[in-house]
Amino acid sequence: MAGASDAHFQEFAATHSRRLFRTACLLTSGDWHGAEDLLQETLGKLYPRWRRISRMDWPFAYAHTTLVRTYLEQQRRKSSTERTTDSVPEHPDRPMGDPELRLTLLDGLAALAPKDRAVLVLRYWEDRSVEQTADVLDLSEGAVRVRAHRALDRLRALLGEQLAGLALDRT
Amino acid sequence: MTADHPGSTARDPDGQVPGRDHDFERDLPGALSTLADTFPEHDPDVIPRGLARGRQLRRVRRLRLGAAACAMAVAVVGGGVAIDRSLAADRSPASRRTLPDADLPTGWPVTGNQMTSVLRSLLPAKGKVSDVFGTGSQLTPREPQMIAKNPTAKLVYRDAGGATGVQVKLSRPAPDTPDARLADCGAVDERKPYDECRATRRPDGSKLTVAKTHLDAWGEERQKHWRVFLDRPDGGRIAVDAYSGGVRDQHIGSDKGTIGIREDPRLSIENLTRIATDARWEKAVTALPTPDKRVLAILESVLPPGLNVTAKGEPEYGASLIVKDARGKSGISANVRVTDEPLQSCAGNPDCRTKTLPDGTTTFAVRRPVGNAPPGFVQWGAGVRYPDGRTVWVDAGNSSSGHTVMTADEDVEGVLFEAEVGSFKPSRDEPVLTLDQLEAMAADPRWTR
Repeated sequence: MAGASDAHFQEFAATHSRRLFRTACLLTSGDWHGAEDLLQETLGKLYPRWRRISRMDWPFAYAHTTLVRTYLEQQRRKSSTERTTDSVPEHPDRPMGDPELRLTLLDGLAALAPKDRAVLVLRYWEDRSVEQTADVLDLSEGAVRVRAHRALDRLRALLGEQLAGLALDRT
Repeated sequence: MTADHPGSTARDPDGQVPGRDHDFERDLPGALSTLADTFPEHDPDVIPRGLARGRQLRRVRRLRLGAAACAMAVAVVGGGVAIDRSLAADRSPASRRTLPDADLPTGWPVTGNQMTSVLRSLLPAKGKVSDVFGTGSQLTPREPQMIAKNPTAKLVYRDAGGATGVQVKLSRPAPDTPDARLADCGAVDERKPYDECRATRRPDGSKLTVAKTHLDAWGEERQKHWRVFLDRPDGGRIAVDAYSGGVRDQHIGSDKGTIGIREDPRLSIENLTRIATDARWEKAVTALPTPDKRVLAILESVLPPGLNVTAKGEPEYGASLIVKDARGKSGISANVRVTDEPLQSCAGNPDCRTKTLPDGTTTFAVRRPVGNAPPGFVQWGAGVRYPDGRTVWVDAGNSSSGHTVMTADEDVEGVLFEAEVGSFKPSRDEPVLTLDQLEAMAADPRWTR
């Protein structure tokens, strides 16, 4: 890769790494170290193909898709041992918008199956459509809807009305 | 993020959402954004490490292509042997104990090869190393010390009893930061304090911290993670991390079947301590800029007098401050880069000025709304690009939680994180600094010393 292209890649990485890292943090349910590993691996995968990617209309979208797919690849490799809980943990009511509630949301995300978590992150954090989500995850649109329903049910059982407190923190 | 799409409607997974469920879905994007705002900055070294990983992948891909070509010519040449040897280079036994002078760090800059050479030389002779890669103190040879990266070396060490991931990182943590508090057994993640930790003062005034913790990689299964830090009296740190079984990096292999869950790392605490305290790191650590020579300190030094700094942080390439005066809080940030790209253009910005000095230095100053923020958010910035490519940029916003500035964490005093604008309100009408002040700050000679 030519020096200019290298510099361009580094510029791209510096510009977008924060947003990619945040998505990685959500996918890993707040495991910062795991999120850094995921971001590093994603950048590593992008680099050899950068010449082609840089000519795309939306290189960031490609990078984001690579991140999500890399995450799912990692999960598949350890899927035989990872256990996803069928029931969400019980938590007493907590005051809205507090750090504990944020941790509860992280716990809720952690309790989801990796692909369900990816569906939620794409739909509700990245604002992707069902069709786009299905494309990224290589699922049917129906499967995306089913997974989204299931994941939302679990989160709702855990957080219920308290979620509004976190959302209101932004107003 | 969803804040970028104010017009989007609540999503419904199947198109039919009852009221209560609709509320939950309506609130979820905002809740996720609030949650994401609390995430820390990633380690700046992730980018050079990703780059190094990319180069490794590209090399392997090319060699595989070459191997395929050789296989076509089969057997005639036996070229595959040479390729296999090349691919296996990282798996060769380490060159222990002795090290040519050329491989030792002697000062600025520190290279990734020097880092890995030193680490390999400090490992027990009985084992083998693989998956070696290191990163240096610069992303490009032109980068000044004020934006130095933390050099790292990473590898997997194997002996008859199993494998261990080992990582060394050199740094100079800024005082009174979470990173600095590691030297007092403060864990980075407050949700998971260390299982064991002790810090002892050494005769030379340095502090040795030994911590045992774990990674919850597979549900209740734990990968042991041992840490040894040597914090020198001058603020330099050598951090050594060991992971049972291997490093969790995907490319090194983190399947449960290949790493020793619940086993101790193959390098003892004594081994790790010897690595951390070895004199071979000395010049490399000394070469790293002290906090007073980094962007954050320079930004503070060029601030006009009379401003009260309420929070500060060091994002990649730069620094951010929240300052306060009688009219409220304002975010200020600065970054330094070395680039051949031209400085920004005034095209499309009516409130903008730029000029080129006789020596080729270009200056730029602009007042404008913040990117995709709601109306009312403004940011004023000034930059100077010198003929050698060094570019200094300083800006100030009328918010302590703007899109391109940092916001104070309400839960942890003094901690900053970057935040999306979302529906935050401006904290004042105008930034705390005038455009003239920003121009003077960007042009200050302290950035080029």
